[in-house]
Amino acid sequence: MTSRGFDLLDADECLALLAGRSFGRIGAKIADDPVVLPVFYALLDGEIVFRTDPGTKLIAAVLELRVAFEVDDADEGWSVLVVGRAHEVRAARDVASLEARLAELWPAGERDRLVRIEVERITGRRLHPAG
Amino acid sequence: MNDPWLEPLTREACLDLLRHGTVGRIALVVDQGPIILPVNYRLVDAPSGPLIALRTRPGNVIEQAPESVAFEIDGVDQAGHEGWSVLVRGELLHATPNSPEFAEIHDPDSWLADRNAWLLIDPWAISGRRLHGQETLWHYRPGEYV
Repeated sequence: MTSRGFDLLDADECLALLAGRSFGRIGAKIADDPVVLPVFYALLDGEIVFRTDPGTKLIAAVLELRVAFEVDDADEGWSVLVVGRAHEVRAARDVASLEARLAELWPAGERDRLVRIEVERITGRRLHPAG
Repeated sequence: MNDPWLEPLTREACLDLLRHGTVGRIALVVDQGPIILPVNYRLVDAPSGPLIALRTRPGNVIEQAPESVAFEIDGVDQAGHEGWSVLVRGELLHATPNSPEFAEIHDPDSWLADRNAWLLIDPWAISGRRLHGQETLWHYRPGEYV
């Protein structure tokens, strides 16, 4: 038991937790100020994948930039943090392949764009039970 | 297509959600890059306006944070049909037990007595969204928030 009150999770444990969830938050910067925005995501081939609304000029704030992505469960007492670059999935074959896998999770909009976050760094914590 | 972004929350609705929550996430950029950390928090209704009080251990990375931060709380129902999110952007302040801000934190719980440092977020923007409908499509639309 550590004096910090929590255990650090290894990458495999973190990925397992991410694989079991579909709701997370992206941390990015817009005009130099941090923002946190929730998204529904899927962990596919070791990457975080989510849909975007086209036509939001601010999407440029995340593409090709390093963002944070977080998933947690306050009741279970764990959190996972991913840091990595966000890229748009452009190649038609890749888009079709991902859409086929995502179709069961949530329906696609007509002009949705797909974004993937590659995992450069992944860390996690699990709190020790109180008492 | 169902547009899920039908109900922006009023400031009062956001404050009410903040008032009833206990866990949120703070986002900031440190030397090592961007981070998001879950934290215990309380909404403080100070005379000067609402403040977000965060409990943190002394020496925690948050304390070395630059001044501009984001703080978020959210909820999604079990079926994934209803959800909401509140985003607070503000300046980070440090509060000592002698400060006026600290006196505003009425907390009967014992953990307030712990030797933890207190951080306060002074909001300059509070926004929120409630998501209805069968399709919970939380598309990435930062324009809804900024």
